[in-house]
Amino acid sequence: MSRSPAALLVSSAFGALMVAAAAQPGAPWGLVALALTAAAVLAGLFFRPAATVAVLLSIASMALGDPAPLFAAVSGLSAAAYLLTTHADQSGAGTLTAPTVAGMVGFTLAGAAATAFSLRLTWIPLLAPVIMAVIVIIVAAPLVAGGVSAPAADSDPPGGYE
Amino acid sequence: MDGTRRADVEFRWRTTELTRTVFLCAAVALAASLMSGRWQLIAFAAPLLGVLASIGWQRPVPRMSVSATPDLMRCFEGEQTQTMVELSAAAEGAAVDVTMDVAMDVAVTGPPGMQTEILPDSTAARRSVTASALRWGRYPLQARVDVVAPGGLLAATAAVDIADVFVFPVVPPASTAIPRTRMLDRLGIHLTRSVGPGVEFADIRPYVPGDQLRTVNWSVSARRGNLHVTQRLTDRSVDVVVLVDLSGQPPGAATAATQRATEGALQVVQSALRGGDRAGVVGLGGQRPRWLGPDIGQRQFYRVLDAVLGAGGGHRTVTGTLAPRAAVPPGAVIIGFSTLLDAAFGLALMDLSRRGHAVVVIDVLDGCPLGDDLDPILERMWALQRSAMYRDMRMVGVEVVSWPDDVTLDVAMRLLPAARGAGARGRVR
Repeated sequence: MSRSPAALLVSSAFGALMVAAAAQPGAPWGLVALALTAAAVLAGLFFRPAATVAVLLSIASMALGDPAPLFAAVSGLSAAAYLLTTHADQSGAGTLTAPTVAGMVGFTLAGAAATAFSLRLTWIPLLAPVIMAVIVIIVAAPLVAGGVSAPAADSDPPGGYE
Repeated sequence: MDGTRRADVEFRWRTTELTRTVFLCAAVALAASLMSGRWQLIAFAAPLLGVLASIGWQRPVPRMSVSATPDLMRCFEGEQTQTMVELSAAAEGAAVDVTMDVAMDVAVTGPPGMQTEILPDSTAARRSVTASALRWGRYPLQARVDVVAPGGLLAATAAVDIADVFVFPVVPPASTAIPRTRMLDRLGIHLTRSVGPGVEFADIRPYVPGDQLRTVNWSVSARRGNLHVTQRLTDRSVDVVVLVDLSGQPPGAATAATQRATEGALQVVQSALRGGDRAGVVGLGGQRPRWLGPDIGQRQFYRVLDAVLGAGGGHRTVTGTLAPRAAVPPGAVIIGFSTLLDAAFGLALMDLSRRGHAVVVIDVLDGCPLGDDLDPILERMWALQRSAMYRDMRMVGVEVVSWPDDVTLDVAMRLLPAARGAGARGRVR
């Protein structure tokens, strides 16, 4: 773990933003969740997997409370930036590239818009699991081993290396 | 010789820890929103899904290729040899600087037994690599390229064979004996019984017209009253063709023995070339039987090394299991190295003997190859079988000399029989 102090500062700033936006002081376990999340962000300075724990804890704290959709969106955006900056040194290349930032911000706007129009339709809860499963499958399809989505320069099928 | 081998790198992409973490968090957030009924968590998960979706929009990784100059290196055991490994990339036909935006690492590794080292003057895309090995053989060098795609979401590792290092054995300097045979009518260093130009005294005979005046032995002529001349023994040379058994051997002692076969063959060649004789090599059996015609000089030794290890392209291939006639000039001495477990090799030896060559085969197999913990009676039966085979080979004109493990080759070859067959003239004394 040889991250430069500046990179550490940037990543923990995003982490702090995530914690602050996700905080639910009014909720029953809100303060406990806030303290645990903050501790995990601090631990993430020295130990990378703690950053994942911090994100999961902030998800838990939001699930316990009832956050405003805008705060949830800001917290999610910060969580994504936090994870990207935490893993920046490992990959060597910069993780905050233009396509990544565009994807993050675009999806945030779409998500915020989707949650803003709270259509109270009775069949939505029935459809929601299916829609989410479809979203997860669409996103995960390029990542699983079979369909390796190589950002290759041309359309040669990857693989075949022996 | 200074060829360049270029190999395209075919990547197999896999997700990085970052991608897996982001996916885990997004999936947990979506699941939590489903279970708790808090739809705001969808807004939380959206940026994470956006990060994952951006994989397809990242800048493409250029096609990469690795080249090594030279791609064929030769050295002796323990020596170091150096090559330059270069990583280059091209996107849409234009060359790009790979190190600029793609995080990558090039490592060069050899098989077990080979030490590789990347010199400090290397850059990320251009590596100077030294390689050395303590045991002779052919060592393929492999370049491993680790790449992280822009965005850090995908990583790939690819390995390509870029160069071959041929490590030659260091040959013991001791000279080996050659079997007694009729020598060629060519000046050399092997003393024969035939009379001609030379140093060693042979006889005195009366002068006949045509004798050189400088051969007249004046003191004898003065005593006898008429002219006498001194006759001298002449030194002749010989063609030595080494026959190496390259056929696959059963695992265990026989495989270990084939290593000595190569070393012994090279020692015989070196000894012959040092004496001014012509030496060639024929490798029979195995995947690529090959031969190299006899020639003289130190350069021939390196050509023989290449031919024995199958390096370079200076040798020719054999079709069939017999030694080709072009590889074995008339009168050549054949010295074979074999475990004598392969019938085809024995047939090739008998064929050469029938063509009139003096054939000696060195049995490199020491003891029974069937295993260590055998019943003593089995080892005894094996020894009897082998001695019967030696006798049979001798009957068809192929001398067999055993080369035990604890004896050097020059000592083992002193046991070559003193005389074989008919004709005493023109033999090594």
